[in-house]
Amino acid sequence: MSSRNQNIIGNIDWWLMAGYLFLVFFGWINIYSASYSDEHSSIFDLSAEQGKQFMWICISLGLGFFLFLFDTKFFQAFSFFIYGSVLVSLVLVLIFGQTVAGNKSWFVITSSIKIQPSEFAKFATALVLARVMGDNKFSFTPSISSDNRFKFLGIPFHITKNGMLAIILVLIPAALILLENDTGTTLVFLSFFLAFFRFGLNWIFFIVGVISVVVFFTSILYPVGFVLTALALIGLIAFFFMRNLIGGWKIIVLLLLFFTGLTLAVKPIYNHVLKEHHRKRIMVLLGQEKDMKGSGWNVNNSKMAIGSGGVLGKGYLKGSLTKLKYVPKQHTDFIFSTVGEEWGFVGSAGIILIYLFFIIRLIAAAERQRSMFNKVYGYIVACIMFFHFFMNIGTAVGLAPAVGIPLPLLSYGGSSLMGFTLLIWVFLKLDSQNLQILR
Amino acid sequence: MNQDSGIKYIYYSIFGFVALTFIIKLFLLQVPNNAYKEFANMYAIRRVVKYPARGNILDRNGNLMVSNEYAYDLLMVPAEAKPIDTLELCRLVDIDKTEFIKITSQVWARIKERKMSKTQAVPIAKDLSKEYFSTIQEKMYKFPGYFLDKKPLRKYPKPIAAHILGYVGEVDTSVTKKNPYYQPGDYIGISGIEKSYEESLRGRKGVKKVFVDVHNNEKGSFMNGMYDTASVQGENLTTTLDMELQEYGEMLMRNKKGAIVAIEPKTGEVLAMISSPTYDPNHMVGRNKRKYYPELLLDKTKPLYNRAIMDGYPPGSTFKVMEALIGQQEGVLFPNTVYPCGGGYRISATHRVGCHAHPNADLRYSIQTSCNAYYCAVFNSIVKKYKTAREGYNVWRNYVVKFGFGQNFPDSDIPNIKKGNVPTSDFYDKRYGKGGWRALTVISLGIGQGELQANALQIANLACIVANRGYYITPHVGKKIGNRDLKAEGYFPKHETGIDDKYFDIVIEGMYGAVNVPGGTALVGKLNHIVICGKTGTAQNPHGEDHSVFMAYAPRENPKIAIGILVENAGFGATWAAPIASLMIEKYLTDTITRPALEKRMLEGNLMNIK
Repeated sequence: MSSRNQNIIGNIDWWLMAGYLFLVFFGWINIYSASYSDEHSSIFDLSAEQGKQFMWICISLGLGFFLFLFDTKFFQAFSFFIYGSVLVSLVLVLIFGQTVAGNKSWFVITSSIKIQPSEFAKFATALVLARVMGDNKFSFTPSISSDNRFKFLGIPFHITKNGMLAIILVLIPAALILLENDTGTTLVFLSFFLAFFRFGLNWIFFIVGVISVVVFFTSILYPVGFVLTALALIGLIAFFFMRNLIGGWKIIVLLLLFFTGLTLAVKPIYNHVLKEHHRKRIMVLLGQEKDMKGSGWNVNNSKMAIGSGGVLGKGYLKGSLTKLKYVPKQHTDFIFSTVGEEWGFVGSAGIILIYLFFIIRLIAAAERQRSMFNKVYGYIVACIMFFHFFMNIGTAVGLAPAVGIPLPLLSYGGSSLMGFTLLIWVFLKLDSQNLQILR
Repeated sequence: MNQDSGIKYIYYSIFGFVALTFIIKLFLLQVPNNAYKEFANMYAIRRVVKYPARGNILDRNGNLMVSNEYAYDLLMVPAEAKPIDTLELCRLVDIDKTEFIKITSQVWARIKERKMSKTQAVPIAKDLSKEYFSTIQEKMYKFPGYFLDKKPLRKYPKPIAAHILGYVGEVDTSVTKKNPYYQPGDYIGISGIEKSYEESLRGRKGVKKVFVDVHNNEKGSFMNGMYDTASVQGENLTTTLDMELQEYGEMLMRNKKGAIVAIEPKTGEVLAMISSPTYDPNHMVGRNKRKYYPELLLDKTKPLYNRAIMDGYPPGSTFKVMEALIGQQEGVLFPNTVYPCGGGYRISATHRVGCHAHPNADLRYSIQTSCNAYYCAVFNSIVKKYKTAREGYNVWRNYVVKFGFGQNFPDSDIPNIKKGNVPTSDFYDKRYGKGGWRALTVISLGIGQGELQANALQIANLACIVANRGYYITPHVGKKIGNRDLKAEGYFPKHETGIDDKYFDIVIEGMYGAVNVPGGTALVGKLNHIVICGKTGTAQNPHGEDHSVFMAYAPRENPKIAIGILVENAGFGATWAAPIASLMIEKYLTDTITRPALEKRMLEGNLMNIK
């Protein structure tokens, strides 16, 4: 092994590092803008959000350097232990935790320092999945030749035991977080499934998932008959193209049955399973209702603030709506509206491109990993980042329902920042030792 | 599969697709000219409370008694306030610079203590008149963070009826704690009609959000007023008052202390309620209040005090009318009952209730001449009818309360009516011991003296009962709210006194005699073209000159007006009270005065300095 390979500094992916540092710094100065008040005019004022965020940034950087002291093997070896500890803390928080803004997901240390274990659950789950899926024998679908027993109507829908284990490892923390009443963070666990497709989960699930979301929303808006007719038409067209595929018609019939069932179930689920505030958010998202008191107010004000920024923005610290505390939760879930108002289209589109670059860079870095553990882990980090990015900015611009999850690295919040720092810096560490792994 | 890097392009395209969608959405939000762009130049959103104009108050003939006039408050939003030329601003709004500094430093102190928010507007100078507004408005650009807020204030076209109309003032913290509608600084009806009809008159205030640009100009409503709540104008209130009569009564009572209440007997509608000395209701509004209110509070003649509904004085001989009715109803008094007068009523060997010398009287004549001895005997006979003095007294008292004495008309819309006093038998038990008193002990009650206390409203109501031959309608001042007729909605019920119709003939005859027959006590009030029935009274005043009391109604057939009047320190009822009542009746029924000399004497009379 050459000495170059042992030089950690030289092997760090400096693009990712730069992206991380830029986003964290940019988040901090925007939190300062969003929380600015005459009483707390210093960016280091520890009694205000910007000062606390500065403190969290320092802690996170310290944590990052600390992580670099560990050997890669440590994360593999301790993945189950870390995962187990986080599960225990998720159970404990249900018992001893404090409710903040309706979510019973906080350990309160002091009145100003609260820790949200669910932010760390993502990291722990990512590690444990990397461990399980990093195994050379791991596969979601058995090779077609090996086993025909699980074929359903000749279609390979089935999943191996290992695959089921991976799914269950995602579902356990997701269920615990759902019990905390934190729907947003629970939804984040969907991002693990997005990563699974890279490792053999049939893409048909992804397509079915996306179509299900579309069917769900259209069924709320339009009469059942209309949706079913549309499905039948699409089915016919699909059949025309796929009739020559082996089992193609069977897949179409099966999917049509599934979506018919879903269509019929949507209204009862919507009316009886979902809670009033969920329904409100959906109606606001679909533009059916202007809920000017609750989430509609937030989203609408966020759009207002972003829209008012224009092409070049009003300038840093000059966002009048930001200053007026016009958008609720502006330093946390709606930090992007500050960016939109003060940095304009140029700045906010720039931030989107930086996120896109960062996430693609993560995938690219994951692809170059020699170890499966690293590769799985990298993909998961990228997908978590993407999901947060998608839901958060989607909410801020009014394209996704308001589920209330932070924008990675930008939003105010110690747990969130440390959670993402863990995710990203562990990958940076894994990546830096990539070349040491023998093929 | 693990080495397969082709799949990553699927991920890239999903991520790229989402990012592109976001950028397109951002482009649509930020780049084209649309509503959002308007926000770019906005500096602040200001929450402005819109106070609706209070409802007008009209008299029974639709004449305006109370309306509104706009005034302006100078407000400061601390968060937006910049250093300004304080002296110039102070000069503009006519306040002292030290006061201005005091107010603003208090505001900053409260902000520092986190007791208020910096974005909350605070009043610096209040109730600036329209004249100020035009000069200040031009210069507002010099004072960022300061703005003028328009609000309606009460205005009284004629300076009358201050007491019954009541006044409006800033709400008390005790109210704001209980009723979330009111915020500190809001106005509320504090007394009189303004108080009892507060909820109808006030309307509902609204909130408006407006944009303010960097030049401190309002730039129209925020989001087309989507978050605004409209203010609802207060409803107009038509009262039962007759402005002309009220004004005339106040004129007659000038320089006298006392009260007049005039009621339409059939309806219980209060036509006039005068308390003298009075004050100009305009003096209780806005900046005037700061100047006049302390003076009014300190004035020894108590102009703020509504004498028409206070605890009052002994009703004196007017009480005898009721005594005559109770006696008849109880079957101890008949039209031909004669009691010897002989200049007084002997209670014991050493005590007697004095009376003026006149021939022995029957019932009619006893009222006409107001014989004290006669009514001592009547009272004695009512009480004595029962086994014990206590039982007899309770029967008597029961009647008296039914006549409206010793109670505050809980159905009425006139706030703060005092009960006066009709002592209970328990009171005498306590004073004299159980069984330690009899009718003679409390005999002065029989002629409306002793512990009795009544006010002009109760005395006017007694006149109503006689005019109605046995009942009264709760006296009230509200007639219509908007177009809603309050009486039709059952607000002011009828009260029976339990006296049969037939017993009134002789009493009315006596009251007719008092005013119209030579020898009657109130002959001075006689009118040639209108038959007035009346009864004088003199309320004994242990502190000085007696108070003059008179009650009357007219015309005798189909009565249109009943009056109760008390003039302090005016001596015998006939000298001041009866002539004033007579003039009021004439004014109300004919709208002309046929006795200018009498009117002149009454107008010019000054009893303020008599004790």
